[in-house]
Amino acid sequence: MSPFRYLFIFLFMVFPALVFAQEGKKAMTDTIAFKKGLEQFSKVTNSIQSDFIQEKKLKMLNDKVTSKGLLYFKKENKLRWEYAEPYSYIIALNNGKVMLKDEGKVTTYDANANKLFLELNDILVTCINGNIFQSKKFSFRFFENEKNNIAELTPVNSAMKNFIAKIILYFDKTDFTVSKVEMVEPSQNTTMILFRNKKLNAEIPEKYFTLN
Amino acid sequence: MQKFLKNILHSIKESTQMTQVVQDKSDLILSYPVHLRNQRSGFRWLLLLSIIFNSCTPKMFRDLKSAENIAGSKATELFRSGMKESLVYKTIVHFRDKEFSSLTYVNAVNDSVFKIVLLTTFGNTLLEAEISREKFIVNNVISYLDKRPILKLFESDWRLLLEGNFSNATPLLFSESKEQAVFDYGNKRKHHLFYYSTANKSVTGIESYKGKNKKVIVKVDSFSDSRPEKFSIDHPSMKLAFNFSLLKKVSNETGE
Repeated sequence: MSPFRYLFIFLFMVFPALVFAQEGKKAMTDTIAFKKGLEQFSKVTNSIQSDFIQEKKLKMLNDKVTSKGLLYFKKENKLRWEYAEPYSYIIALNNGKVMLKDEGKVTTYDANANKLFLELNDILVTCINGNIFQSKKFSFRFFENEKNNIAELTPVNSAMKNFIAKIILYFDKTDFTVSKVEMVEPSQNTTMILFRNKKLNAEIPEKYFTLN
Repeated sequence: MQKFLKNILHSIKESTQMTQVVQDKSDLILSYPVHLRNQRSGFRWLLLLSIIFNSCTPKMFRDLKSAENIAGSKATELFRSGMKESLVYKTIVHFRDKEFSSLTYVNAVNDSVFKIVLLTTFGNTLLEAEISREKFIVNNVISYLDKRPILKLFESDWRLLLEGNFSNATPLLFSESKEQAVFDYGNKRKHHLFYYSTANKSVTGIESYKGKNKKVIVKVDSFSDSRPEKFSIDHPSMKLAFNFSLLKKVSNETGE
């Protein structure tokens, strides 16, 4: 199972919504080959480290704000988002615990104590046991362009639709890694995250997933 | 976060209900005169008169003079007119012993219309609203924030911050010294005091009174380049506070 599936699941929990750059895409010709390739990539990938640039576009203000930081993922379900700009902020997910670090203060949430995190856990389990592309929580459409395989996820559940209109994942055709995520909110505000300088299977210390 | 907001909502409702109870009691007492006439109870009349006096303008706000010649019309503007960029504030909501981090965008459409957007730290939109002298329009709000008491609190807080921008009336002069002037907006039982530093030429604080009780306290800790950089809104009776720290200014033309 692709680690990047965990990543986009996490993304959908915290970045509701997205719109799609429709230019230059066409229906994917071989979705089976794409899914198999992704599974193979997942088998040989134990960790991912990447820089990210996040752009939030607000329709109402005609503005955008850029955030930057580092992302760390380690199998099976350890994740760390480390925002460096516009201010330092870390969120780490580790074995059912979600930890936030803001201005030196660490807050830990028990995933069972929060419906949102329960949902996240549920999807993680689905990922471990099955295939996210078979999830009944989303409807899926597959596209491609010259450089990317593109998966468009639309939530089926009405509660989730309140937060997210669409999530679009751009997988690099050369190595199956996610290079871009776009999220569209029902208000048409969008969040785009670009991943750069990806390192696969680099050693990531365990302490990165425990905040104190 | 939903639980956090539920608790805030409960606290707002509790605070509103307490005010309601007091109002109901005074309504009951004010309906006494018909009976009192028959009973000829001097004591009850005295009680009634004291309640009537208490319900009028508190003594500290009586007989204030107009501040027309004391300071310029911009003295009570927290967000100065002619703002060309959006301001992005890191916003920490404190409620009892809990806190929640978010982002607030403030954008002036013109000198008397402002757009305010509340986002989570991760970027998803919680609330988009437009506020002017006459209107408060919510363009987009997430379901668990879409509660009348929460939206009312949001509006009243921003109306307080922007009163210097919105008000056509000349404020009254509450007090004056070499260092600062204190201006008063309001009438009868509701008064808003604006503390203006003559040295820094900026608002340093706002206090909202209902009768003699301080309901909302705004502190401006840092003001620079005609913008508040750090300020807080405190609701002591609800144990609810918002701390704002300016992260960046976003040009409306370039988007950066």
